Amino acid sequence: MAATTFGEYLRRLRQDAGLTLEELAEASGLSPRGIGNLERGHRTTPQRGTVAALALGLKLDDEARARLASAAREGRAPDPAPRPADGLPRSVEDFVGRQKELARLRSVAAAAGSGPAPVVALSGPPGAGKTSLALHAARLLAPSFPGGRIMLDLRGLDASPPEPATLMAQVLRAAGVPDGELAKAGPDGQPGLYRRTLAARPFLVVLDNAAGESQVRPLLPGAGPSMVLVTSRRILSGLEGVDRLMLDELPAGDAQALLAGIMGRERAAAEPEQVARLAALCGRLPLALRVAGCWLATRTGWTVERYADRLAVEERRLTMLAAGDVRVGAAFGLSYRRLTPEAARLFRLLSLVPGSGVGTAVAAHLLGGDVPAAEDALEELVEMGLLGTDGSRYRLHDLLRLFARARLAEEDGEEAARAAAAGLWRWLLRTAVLAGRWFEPDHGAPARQPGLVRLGTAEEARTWLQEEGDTWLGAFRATAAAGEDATVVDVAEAMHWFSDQWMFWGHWPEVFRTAAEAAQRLGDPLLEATQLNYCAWALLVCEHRPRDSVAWSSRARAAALRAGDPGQTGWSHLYSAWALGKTGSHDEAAEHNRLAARYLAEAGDVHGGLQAAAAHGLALIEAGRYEAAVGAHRAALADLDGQAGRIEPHIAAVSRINLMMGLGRSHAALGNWPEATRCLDQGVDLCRRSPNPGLESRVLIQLARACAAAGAGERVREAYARCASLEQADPVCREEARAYLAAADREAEPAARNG
Amino acid sequence: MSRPTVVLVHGAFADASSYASVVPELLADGFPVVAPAVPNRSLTGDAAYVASVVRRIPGPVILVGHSYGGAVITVAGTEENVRGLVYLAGYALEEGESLGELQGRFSDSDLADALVYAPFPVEGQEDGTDVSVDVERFPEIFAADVDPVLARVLAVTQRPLAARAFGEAAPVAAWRSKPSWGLVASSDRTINPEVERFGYQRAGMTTVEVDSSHLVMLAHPKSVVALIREAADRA
Repeated sequence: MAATTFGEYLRRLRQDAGLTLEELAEASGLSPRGIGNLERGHRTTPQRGTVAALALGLKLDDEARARLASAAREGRAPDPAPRPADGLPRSVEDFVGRQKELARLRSVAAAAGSGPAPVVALSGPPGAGKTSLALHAARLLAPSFPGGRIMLDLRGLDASPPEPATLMAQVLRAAGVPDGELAKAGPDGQPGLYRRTLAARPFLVVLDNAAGESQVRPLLPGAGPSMVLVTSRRILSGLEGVDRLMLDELPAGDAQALLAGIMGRERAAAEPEQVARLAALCGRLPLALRVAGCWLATRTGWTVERYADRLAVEERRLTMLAAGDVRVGAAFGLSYRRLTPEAARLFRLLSLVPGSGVGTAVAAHLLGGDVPAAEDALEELVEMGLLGTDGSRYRLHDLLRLFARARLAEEDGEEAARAAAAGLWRWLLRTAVLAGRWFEPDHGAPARQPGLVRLGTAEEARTWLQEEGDTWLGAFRATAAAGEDATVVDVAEAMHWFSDQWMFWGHWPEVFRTAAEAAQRLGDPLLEATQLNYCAWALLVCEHRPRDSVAWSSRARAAALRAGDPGQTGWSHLYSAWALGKTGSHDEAAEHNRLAARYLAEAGDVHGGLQAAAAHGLALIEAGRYEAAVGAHRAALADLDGQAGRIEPHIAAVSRINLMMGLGRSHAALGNWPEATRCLDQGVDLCRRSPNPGLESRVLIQLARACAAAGAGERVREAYARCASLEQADPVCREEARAYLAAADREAEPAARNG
Repeated sequence: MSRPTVVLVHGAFADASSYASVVPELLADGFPVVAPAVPNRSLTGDAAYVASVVRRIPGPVILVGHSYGGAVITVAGTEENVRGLVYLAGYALEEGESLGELQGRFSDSDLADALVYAPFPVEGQEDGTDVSVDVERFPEIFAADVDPVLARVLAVTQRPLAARAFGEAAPVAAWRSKPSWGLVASSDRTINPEVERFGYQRAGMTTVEVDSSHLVMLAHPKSVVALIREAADRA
């Protein structure tokens, strides 16, 4: 979750420096209010002098200062600098106790690298501090795992926790495996890629809040230097060769130390018996202790005794919340009742938010659109220990969520709760639709900004859709379950182009399948065909299941023919052709391509026609019919020129490059060297102008091979050298380039020595 | 499906009240519970007695043993209706192995020099030797993280163990044929945690670690209940 605005970037820098607003204000000579406004985005373009003062206050070096200045100019965060993957949220700073467990984790980590990769399972009831311990341990053990650290939320209590394949892809991407390589591996190759990646360098993976063994098992590496830490309410005895640690309440001494650490040691030392009593009233459960400690920390006028008395009364007053086998309602209840009304309302409503975290905009929506009120309420909840945060997003502990949900039902009534949930879902999905449309060829920026979420650029839209992916997907599922079919179809339709930009999310087949079912219920065969086609695409491209995909494109074709729609009929042929090509059925694929081109031409679908033409050309190359391939590519390029104004510019650019590459390959296969190199040179040139280094690396490989076959040795080296130097090259291409260059150097070496 | 009966076997220097915090939770979960008084006179005699208790129970049984009780269930656990074994800070003996032999593989715990020996009469034979824990030192060695008032009560109500039990070889090891779970009390000063860990790992059982004193059932009842539940669900 990268910071995206200047304000968020500034807040992150400040927190990384360990400064409060006041401390940064003092260090920089600016007002806390002014810095606060910048962080909240109320002021987006700071003066140059302000930036200099901030840089001074933050003690930034020259490079970081330059990054801050450019971020200020653009009003957004700079692209993150390359660094070892550290996908860990911030851990609590006042961690206390668990020394035995930490010692055990250290000794297990020390054994990593010899034999099977160690796996430790932390189990225990909710609120026992499993996640805190895992995070704390991950920080301590970081030096032993220089390959990177990542924590994944397995959302064990969710109705549909994330699948192992989705989680695996997340780890791989955090480990820096490019999407292209993931795509190449496919679902069958991914487990192997995962094991190889974790075997190649020491990685620490924290799997937080696991549902059960089957969710975890595929994510355990075989042998190698990496380590996995699992937290779960369950003991997971079905996993073999695992070290298991069980946590429940803290020992009395540690519980008191935790309270003292939060409220202040001097204060605790003044009333040791009362601190002990308070620890007992909290059941020595870390979560409850934290809430109680935060209460006292924010009320310096209270004695511990007075608070403990209140807590004892509260315990009798409140019907105890039984969640699992933990009863911790009293400390929650007392803190909750002293919240400002806004914060209390937000706390209750947060129990409705699906997914694992919440951003400021969602909170603001829940409070009727008031952003400053939401920020204040969120900060108040964090201060009271009722909400966790990693800077820009907030997390409600499961146990507190249950508590908040019970408060909501009791104070606002079930009907109001349902209405609020429905309102939240509608808003989430409306925002998702607006954000998704940024990526549609016919849309772009929404005519009307949704207000709470900044969707001024495609990048902002992408960030929102990705950060709130769990959230809007939850709303999408609930809306589908409620039978609001028209909304479901709208959302899926708006995601069509965006899904192409976030292929490994793991939920696209579900989204489009759900929408196809909704369209069927709506009795709209054209919509149904469209969504079935998207589903076929998702299975083919996102999940690499060509055989399954063919079944869905056939269903799409049946619906499209029922609807009498040549466009969707054409697309279904295109997807069938694509999938069949992948299974090696080139004859069938060619036939589908031919039909696709025919139907799409009939439909006047320029984008689809372009894809069909390109696919047709490639199929001819695959089939070894190079003369025909030259003709097909030339015709497609002519079409592209003819329709220049009707095609979205970046789609046109990518299509032209791909067609040039296909034409070059066809010429090369026929031995027409001058034509081949001319086409490929032109392709490289277009890539540089885009710029599109991924595609450029692919064209360069074709160019190098063509030059090699033509005997133009100098140019071979030049093309491979350029390819190897591209930072965002397709890794397969880079590999080929590096291998060539290394071999060439080895050959050159003896000659150099002799000379 | 009806719940198995949970039979709770206490250890040496203790009695069935060791399970006072665990029993209410198990009953609330709907488990029938039996927590017999173990004679603590000899390994084979104690095992025969517990086996007789188990045999009287009509349905399936989860057999739980604490400390020396672990050695007892290792022998008694071969009864046909035993579905699973749960060891709590216990001795998982190998067939033909005695407590003394298993313990002797590792360094002594703090218990060794806190033991008190006294003769007791055996009808028609020489006197036996009763072993108990020094009452003053009992709380720190046995129950460091248990309520101190309760720890002193436990010190004076402890049931001694006859010394001969240390040397008796286990005639059989039930964990060979029954699914087993083991809990290591990692701050145990009565039994070296390495002894517990070694026995469990040798048996290949699912092992969990809890930072606890020897009396884990009173110090961390939730973790103990969670492990018994897991065994009942899976066995």
